[in-house]
Amino acid sequence: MKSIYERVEPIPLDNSAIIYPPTVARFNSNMFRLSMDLHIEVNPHRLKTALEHIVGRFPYFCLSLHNGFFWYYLSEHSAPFEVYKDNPAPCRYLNIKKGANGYLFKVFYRKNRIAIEFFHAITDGTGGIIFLKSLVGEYLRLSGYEVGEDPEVFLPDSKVKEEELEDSFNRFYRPIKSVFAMESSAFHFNPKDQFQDDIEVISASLSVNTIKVKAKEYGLTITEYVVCEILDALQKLQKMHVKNKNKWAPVRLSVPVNIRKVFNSSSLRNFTLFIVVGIDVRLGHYEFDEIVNAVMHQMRSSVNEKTLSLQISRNVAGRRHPLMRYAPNVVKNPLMKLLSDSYGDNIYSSVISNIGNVTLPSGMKEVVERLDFFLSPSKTNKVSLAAIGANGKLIINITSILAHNTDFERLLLASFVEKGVSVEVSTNRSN
Amino acid sequence: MAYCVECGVKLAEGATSCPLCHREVIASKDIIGTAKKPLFDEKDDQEEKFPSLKYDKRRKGLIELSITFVGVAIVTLLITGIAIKDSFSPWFPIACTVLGSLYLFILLFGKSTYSRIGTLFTIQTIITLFTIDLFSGTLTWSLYAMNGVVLLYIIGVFPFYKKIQSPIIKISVMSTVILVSLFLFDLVEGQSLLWFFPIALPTFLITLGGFFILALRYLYGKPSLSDIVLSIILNVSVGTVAGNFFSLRMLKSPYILTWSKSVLIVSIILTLFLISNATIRKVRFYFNNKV
Repeated sequence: MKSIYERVEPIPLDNSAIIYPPTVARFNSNMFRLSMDLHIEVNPHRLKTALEHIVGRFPYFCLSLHNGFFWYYLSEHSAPFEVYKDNPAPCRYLNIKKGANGYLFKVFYRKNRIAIEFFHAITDGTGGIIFLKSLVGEYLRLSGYEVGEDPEVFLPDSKVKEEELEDSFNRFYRPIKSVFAMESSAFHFNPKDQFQDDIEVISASLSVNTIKVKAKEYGLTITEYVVCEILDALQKLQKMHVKNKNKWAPVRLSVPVNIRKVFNSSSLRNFTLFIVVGIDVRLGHYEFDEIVNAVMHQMRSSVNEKTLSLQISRNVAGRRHPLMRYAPNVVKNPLMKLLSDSYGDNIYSSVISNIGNVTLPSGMKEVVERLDFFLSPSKTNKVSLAAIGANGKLIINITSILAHNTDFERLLLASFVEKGVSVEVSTNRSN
Repeated sequence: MAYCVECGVKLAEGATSCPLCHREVIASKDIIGTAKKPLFDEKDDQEEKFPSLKYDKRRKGLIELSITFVGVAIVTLLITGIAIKDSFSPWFPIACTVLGSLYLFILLFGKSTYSRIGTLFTIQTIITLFTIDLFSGTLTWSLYAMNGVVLLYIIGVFPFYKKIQSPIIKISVMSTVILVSLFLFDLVEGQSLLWFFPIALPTFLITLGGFFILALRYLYGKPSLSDIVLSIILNVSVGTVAGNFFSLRMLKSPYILTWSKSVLIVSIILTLFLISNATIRKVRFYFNNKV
């Protein structure tokens, strides 16, 4: 494989990726998974060949992670690629040295499924979906299918663009002084339940058209409508589990935003920012319409170039601070964990990441039956949500480390049903 | 494909209960259907687990507490040493505190296996004895003591090392170390060899021979537990008698044995008992057609 990096020195992690390696823990694998269910059976040998063909087009994925003295860093890696039999649970912990021959992503196959699990430090959902589409495209070509052109399906021989490899945060960084706004702690669901090492999933399949109509009724986009439903479910969940009103906390959601379109970037690395939207239930019960207003206002005012620029400046400046730059990793790691908790996990109750509607080129559209997206939860926020749309279906995968409790899932999905949105559920739970 | 009457959601084909409210589906098999494509395969045990924490909370707490106590003790001794520096030197008590606390830390930090803790305790004891003796200016009694500790280790800990499986290696190492220890004892005590060759070596070889016979019986026969215990007592007795015999030869005494006569009688009785017991068993087995 031809090296795109004409240098020997370590490759730094993205600005938004530096938080992932030090915060990996038993119940926080920092992994996400994308998968495609096909109408045809998957041949693992052919899949391996397809992977070997296509991976050269993604040099940024052919890297391994190392724990340096000052920072975690990436370096070029040339171990052979493997495809693995699918796990019974998604987003399992990935050993960065041995888990996938040293790579930070793992390709899985099952009877009719091709899945990739990524360690979040290497890319985000957008980079991941391009890689998955390109891999499946190459697999189908090797299987004799004709796959139409698509800007998100890369061909093995196509040229690697420099901007795909850039850390866009550095390009859009403006030296503006901005501080971290301290938010109060949000509601965290803490039922008396066992934690599972294996992530439990409840997968909900909804019709895109129905949900689009419902969202339009409220004047919202699909993501905004789903966010409203989740906040409402969290509000009910808090009422159900926290009897003492004085102990109620605001319910907030972290919503990752793909800012490539806002900043006109085509980086395949992490280029995502999180906006936090929520309602303060300590002020009283929020009717659904009130939640709609709050979410609409908060989301629309947050996703614009100026507000996001401030966040970029804040993140990059933090990394460039001499105290952060020259502190050894041993000192930095617990600090990162503390920062991640105080400005991350603690201030929201859950995460919903919506990749949006994935368009598939001709030839692939006919073969792909279903797309899935899974996000690993954490010990603080025991339930995470990931949504993806394709072929007229919106799949919401609710991942949880709770062994038995499904109160949140029930409240959320029953709420969709109550509003006339039909939901089909499947699970890997055995209890 | 069924619906949950409680939540209103459509269930996956083959689902017999609702994953949201756990309510059982009461419907005919045609409606429930059969699971064609489960979300994931059945759970296995081959998952890649996040490395578990080395120490649990309780152990961590004990480690922190111990470190605090040791820290407080050292600081107290230092302050006392500074306050009354004419009559009190804090260094010896500090060394003793640190070395003593290491026993505790070995237990708290180390993997709890007999052989590992035994080995670390042996090393720690040698260091402690060496350090304490060193404070007096010269090394005297610690050399004997260290030799004794090594001997104890080779008899009490070494045979239990699971990594070394071969009994031949174990016996060879143990025999060599015991011999070398006896040699060093003799050498250190009198500045020259006095009793090693005339007494210790032949006594040791006779005892070793006895244990060798027992090992052969164990390998090729089926000695009972009482047989093994009595054989060990016999070997120790024979070794004692041999020790007395060779010491008298070194002293050029006219007596063959002195204080060990009664031990010899015990040895003879035990030998006769073991031989007759083995013979009777053989005869009995022969007539009972037992192999």
